[in-house]
Amino acid sequence: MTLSLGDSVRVLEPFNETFSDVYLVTEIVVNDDQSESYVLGELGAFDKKFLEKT
Amino acid sequence: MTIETRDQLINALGNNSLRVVIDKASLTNAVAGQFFSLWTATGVPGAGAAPGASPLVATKDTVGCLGFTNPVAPMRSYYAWQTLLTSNSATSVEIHDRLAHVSGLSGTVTGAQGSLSLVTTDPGIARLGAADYSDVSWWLEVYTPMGSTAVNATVNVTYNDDSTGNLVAFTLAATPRVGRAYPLTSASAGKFIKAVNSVTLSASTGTAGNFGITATRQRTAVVTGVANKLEVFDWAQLGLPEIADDACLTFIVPCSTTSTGLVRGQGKIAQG
Repeated sequence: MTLSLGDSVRVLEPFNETFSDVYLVTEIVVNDDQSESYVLGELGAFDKKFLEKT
Repeated sequence: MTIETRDQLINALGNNSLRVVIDKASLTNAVAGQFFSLWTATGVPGAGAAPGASPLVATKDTVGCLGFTNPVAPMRSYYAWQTLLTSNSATSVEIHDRLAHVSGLSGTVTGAQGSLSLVTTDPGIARLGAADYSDVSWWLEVYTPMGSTAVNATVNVTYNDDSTGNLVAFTLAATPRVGRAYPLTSASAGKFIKAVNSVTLSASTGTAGNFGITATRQRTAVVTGVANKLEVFDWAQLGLPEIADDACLTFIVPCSTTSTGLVRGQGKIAQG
């Protein structure tokens, strides 16, 4: 799965209990350890494995 | 035997009390309105260390706590008097019995990691308090700062009725600093946490750092209004909490500014 800026995503377990809505990818960041994270606005960063494109 | 009358308390304060000294250095890069553990702050008592990857019960002999001598049975110990001076104004200092702790969790791991159980790592009912674990406070505690990517943490727990569940996810801010203590709160009304089964981060923070899980029992709290002015708290203001044998007394500061400030004072543990 490829995610891009502006994509709509759902958050998967175990975070979906808290974040149960559909969110937009607002930023893609490369962390200091070179891993990639997807920022969902004020929700903060998520690894791709916790996201599902809608 | 317990202290049950004012006469017994006065006698214990005057004739059978242990003096404890607090002189803790300030932790910097703090955040107003957030909790900071003084466990690793230098001074007196000396700085505690990250406990390591194996869960441990902390005791009065663990470096980092206010050491004291257990009373001879059947006498008991009570926190009965405290002076406090802080270099920051409006500083609150909570005195906790640090029950158990574990560290070695990583800010770059997105799989489930870490656990701490008060069933398998049991400091005893006298230190735990209520049998339903309602006296216990749980924390994620930072020993080495993690990375600059703000992520969410969710924590899977076992409650006092043996059911399990995830706590409401919360944000680990960018570069959480040494001493930052994130409170873990039950997500199920009327249930209390007796074990943390795992911690899961929503993404890598970018730097491993070192954080852990800590269980404490708050015993009392004191507050200063003005910087560098000594305040005195008597037994009634402190609530005269019983201090269980082997309790690991340490401090948590709900921070009012960008540092914890110097925390200095003396206390008396009355025994009778």
